[in-house]
Amino acid sequence: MSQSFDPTEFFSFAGLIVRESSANEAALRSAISRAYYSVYLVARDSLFGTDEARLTAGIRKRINRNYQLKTHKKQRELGTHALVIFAIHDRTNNFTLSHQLDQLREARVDADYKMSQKCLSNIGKQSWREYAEETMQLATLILPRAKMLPSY
Amino acid sequence: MTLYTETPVAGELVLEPRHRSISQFWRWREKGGEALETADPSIRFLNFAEQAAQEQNAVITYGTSFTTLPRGEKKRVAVVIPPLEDINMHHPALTSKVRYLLRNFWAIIVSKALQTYFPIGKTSIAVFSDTSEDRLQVVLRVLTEASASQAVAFWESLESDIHEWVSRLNDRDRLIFLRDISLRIHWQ
Repeated sequence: MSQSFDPTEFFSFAGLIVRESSANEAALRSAISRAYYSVYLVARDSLFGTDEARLTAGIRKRINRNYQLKTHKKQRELGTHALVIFAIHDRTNNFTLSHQLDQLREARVDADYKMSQKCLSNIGKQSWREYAEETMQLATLILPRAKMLPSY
Repeated sequence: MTLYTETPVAGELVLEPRHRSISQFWRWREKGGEALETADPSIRFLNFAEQAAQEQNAVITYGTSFTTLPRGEKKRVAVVIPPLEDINMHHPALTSKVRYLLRNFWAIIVSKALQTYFPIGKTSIAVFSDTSEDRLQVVLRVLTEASASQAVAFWESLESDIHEWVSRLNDRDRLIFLRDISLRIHWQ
């Protein structure tokens, strides 16, 4: 059986794209997305084990309860992205890392779903290259901390 | 050191550093910025040195250099406080409670920026919606001319101030802040 995939390879791949001066918008958007997923997956696996192996129904329920994320029975439970971001604060009491991962998540949502350039001007960026570079810089700084997150 | 300032959005703010080390730091600067080892021995060195060094690094990192001044002379630094833009925009996520928390959160960030000479260019409010997850979040966006490492250092320096503020909130407000409000810092 082969070893698990190392999500930091997504980060390395994103770095290769951003370092390429001829990278077009599609490539830069993809780099942003891969950079987010790299940090997100590292954080998730640090907290809950590879592929959330240790994320039991009890732990999920506890996090949802602590943040009252599921306020109505009919409301569907929130996805794992928000869960991981809340779990960082829940487990470490650290606002900064939680907000930083959340910023990467917004960048990924912009890159994957926002086709207009308004999302760039909102954050003072002139181009997707600038956005990709900022995202890579943030990912570079928080990836080691995501690796060190204590598990549940 | 207490700074009084006013903005069109938040009204009068009193920006008051909580740590004694800040005033010690100013005393140190007023003495001409000598090396820490030769600072006033009455200052508790270990605690002060550690925190002052952090402040010194912050100031240097943020591009404002120390100036040697004659004893007793205080340097005046003009600091621009950007208004909190879009705080009055209409959106269901921006309840009066969320606006109240945002104004206080913003004041904490601006206060820290003043203390550390961190250059804030713009502060604004936005609503973030992750299309893949059924949730809205209000974000306080800070745009800065600082570099990535400076911005992240500033971001991390906010942690203790945010903790102190959040610890004083009631349970309901704390939950609203944790769940519905997030900070974004964007740099050059």
